[in-house]
Amino acid sequence: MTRKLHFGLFIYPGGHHLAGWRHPSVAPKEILGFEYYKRAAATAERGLFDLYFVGDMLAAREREGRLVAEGALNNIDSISIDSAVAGATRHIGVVATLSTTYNEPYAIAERFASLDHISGGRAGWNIVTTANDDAALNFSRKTHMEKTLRYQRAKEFVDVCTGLWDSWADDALVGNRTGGRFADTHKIRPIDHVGEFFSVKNPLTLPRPPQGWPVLVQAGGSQAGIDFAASVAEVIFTAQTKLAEASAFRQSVESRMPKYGRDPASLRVLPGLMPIIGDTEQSALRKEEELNELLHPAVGIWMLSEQLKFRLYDLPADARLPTADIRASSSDFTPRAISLLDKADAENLSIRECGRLVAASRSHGSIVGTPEQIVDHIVAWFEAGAADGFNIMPPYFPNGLDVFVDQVIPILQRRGLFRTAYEGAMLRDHLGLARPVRS
Amino acid sequence: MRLMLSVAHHGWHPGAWRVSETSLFHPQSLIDAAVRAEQANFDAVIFGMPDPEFKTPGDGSAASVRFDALPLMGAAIGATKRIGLCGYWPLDVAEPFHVARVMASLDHLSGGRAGWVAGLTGRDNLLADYAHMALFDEPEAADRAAEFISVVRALCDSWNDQAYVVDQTSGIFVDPDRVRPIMHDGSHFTVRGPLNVPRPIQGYPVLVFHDRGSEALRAAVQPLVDVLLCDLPTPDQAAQFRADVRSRHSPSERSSPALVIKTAMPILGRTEREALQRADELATLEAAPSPFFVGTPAGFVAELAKWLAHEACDGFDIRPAVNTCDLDLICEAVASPLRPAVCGNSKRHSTLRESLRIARPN
Repeated sequence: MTRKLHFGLFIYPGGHHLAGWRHPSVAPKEILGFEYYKRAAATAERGLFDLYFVGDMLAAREREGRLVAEGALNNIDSISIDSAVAGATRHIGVVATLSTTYNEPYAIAERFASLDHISGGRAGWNIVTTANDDAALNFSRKTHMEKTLRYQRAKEFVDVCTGLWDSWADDALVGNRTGGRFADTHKIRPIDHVGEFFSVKNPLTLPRPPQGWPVLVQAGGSQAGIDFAASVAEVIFTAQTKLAEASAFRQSVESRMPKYGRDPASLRVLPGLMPIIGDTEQSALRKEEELNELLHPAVGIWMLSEQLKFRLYDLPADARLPTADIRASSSDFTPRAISLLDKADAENLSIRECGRLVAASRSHGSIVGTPEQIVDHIVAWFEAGAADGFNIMPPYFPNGLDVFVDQVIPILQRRGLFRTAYEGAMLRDHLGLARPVRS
Repeated sequence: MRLMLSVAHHGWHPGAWRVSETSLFHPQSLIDAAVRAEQANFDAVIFGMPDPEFKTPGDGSAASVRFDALPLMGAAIGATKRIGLCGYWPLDVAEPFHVARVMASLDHLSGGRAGWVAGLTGRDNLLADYAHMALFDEPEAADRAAEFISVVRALCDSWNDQAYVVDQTSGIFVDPDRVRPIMHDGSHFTVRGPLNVPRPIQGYPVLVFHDRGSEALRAAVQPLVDVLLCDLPTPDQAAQFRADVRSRHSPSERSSPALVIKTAMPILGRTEREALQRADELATLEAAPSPFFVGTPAGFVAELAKWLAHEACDGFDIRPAVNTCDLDLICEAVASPLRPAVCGNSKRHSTLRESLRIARPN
């Protein structure tokens, strides 16, 4: 079978461009209501997307102790959005982001098993360890857990969850109504887990999910993140902006998979991509400029300060980004931050320019052009093996998504690179991922 | 009269699955039940309430199957338009920030229809699955419960109603002067805040406490919640309980005392005889607590009216013994011509608080 593209829709209040919510086509008061999320899901489903992706954030966005007035809100709770969307759609997968640092595995295994059952096998879990230091202060902790420890906890957390999903055999339900046997207790086992972070005794409260496990998604790009991805991730949502880097990243994950007994063919890599689409290249560039004009300068500089963990508010916005000072201030930069610093050095960028770069795409890849140009970009990455598809991040909703579905998807379908109908019922079917066998 | 419907997978009688005509495992039936309850003008549906006997997960019984309430609440949003959507989330296995964030999210998504049923698992066979949770003795559990609920309320209040500006022209999304961290530093929780979701449409989600008989717990949470869900066996006992709740009410803390909602599992039939036969059959199938009522839909409505006339409660949490059969008859009974006399005319309310006639907190 020929390899086909996969698409996710990354939903966001207003849009992924940080000024997206200010675009005249957006009704910003509606971005907390069900209709907003449902409309985007219906469009993505019309476009035969594989999945609908919702992020998570466990602390308010602040600048020096006060909410950032000019920045749009993060997503509201991902399980709430995804379960509402699952109830209003029939095919598209729903991926929710939940932290392994601030949750307990038993509750999360039960939550995703419930979502998978209710959606008929369409659930996915984006596993995060939470990068935001402030979250600790909302969860009765003094400090955020250190990164290596977070990933150790995440690994054990996921092991407990898969153990719980596997605690019921697929055929544990007997349903002998006359004899009164509902389930065969020989086919349900307590997991009796005692580990460094968790001890969990009982089996799950629910039969094995339709997909066996929800699809396991992961997004970290650090060294610890890559190892973790190689050990558990079936889908990776990445943030590389250059094809060569993306290819190298993929190879790096794939090369580590055999160490964990995994086949590299069971991995789907979906970089984030913000498309700004116009009928002509000029009109697309005008759209981009229009969005950038709407961007409040304070947002970019705030976001840059957050990403680099370096205070930039007091410096003149037109000064060169002090990359040497920034590099000296920490040894723990994210891959996104490093690639930004490299770019600032290479192009001699000012603080304002860097702020714009970060804010415009939230550091993911973006592409500005005609539908054909967008297609060329997608196909180039796909054919080079750097991506199996993309997690689409429309700059604003709903128009930014409508244009992609109505103008880009049909070209890909004509070229035989994307499905023309859903071929299976579950998210694993869409992604071509095998159902895990119960261990 | 306030009416809620607690939904269980096959029904609340442990033998329900044996007489049910639906497939053995049918998650969609839970959402369908919410739709039916809305058609019958119920104020709210409650998802995820624990089995009264607290079955150990995976013990092989149908009653041990339990769905997480949150995905059910979410999935019911699009399937319904005006019924309240409540979910059980016990506070000994939760964090206040998660509860506030999720309930605020569900409240916005549903247009002000969310309710949180707090309670205590209080069972070591279930808490064995959680790393950091412990069984507290009663005074400490009460203290912790009150602190937990207070933190959830404070997080909902961390955004002023006017803080969510979203002014496209000026580019101001939120007014930081109207959002404040809560800086909670208590004996059980330390929570800085603020919440990262605007204040819920209802101010707070409707706050329900699942009262399982602990005097200390009830005294601690009563000033903080809107509804006490209890299961007192006789109208006299319930009336005494309700009078006690009302006598402890302090108008300086809340505008009106917490509503007392009585849990009630009826076994119904088209005739008395049919109902009795069904009750007998279910009793032979699996042991169960005795039902609240056995009889016809009209008799059931009369029984509810009797409790109300006795001032034993403000309404009921009705639990169909068997979804396929009792739910039909319950919906018929409460939607029947008898209902307006007991329940008042069905009015269309937009939020759950309005429907329950509970004030929105300032």
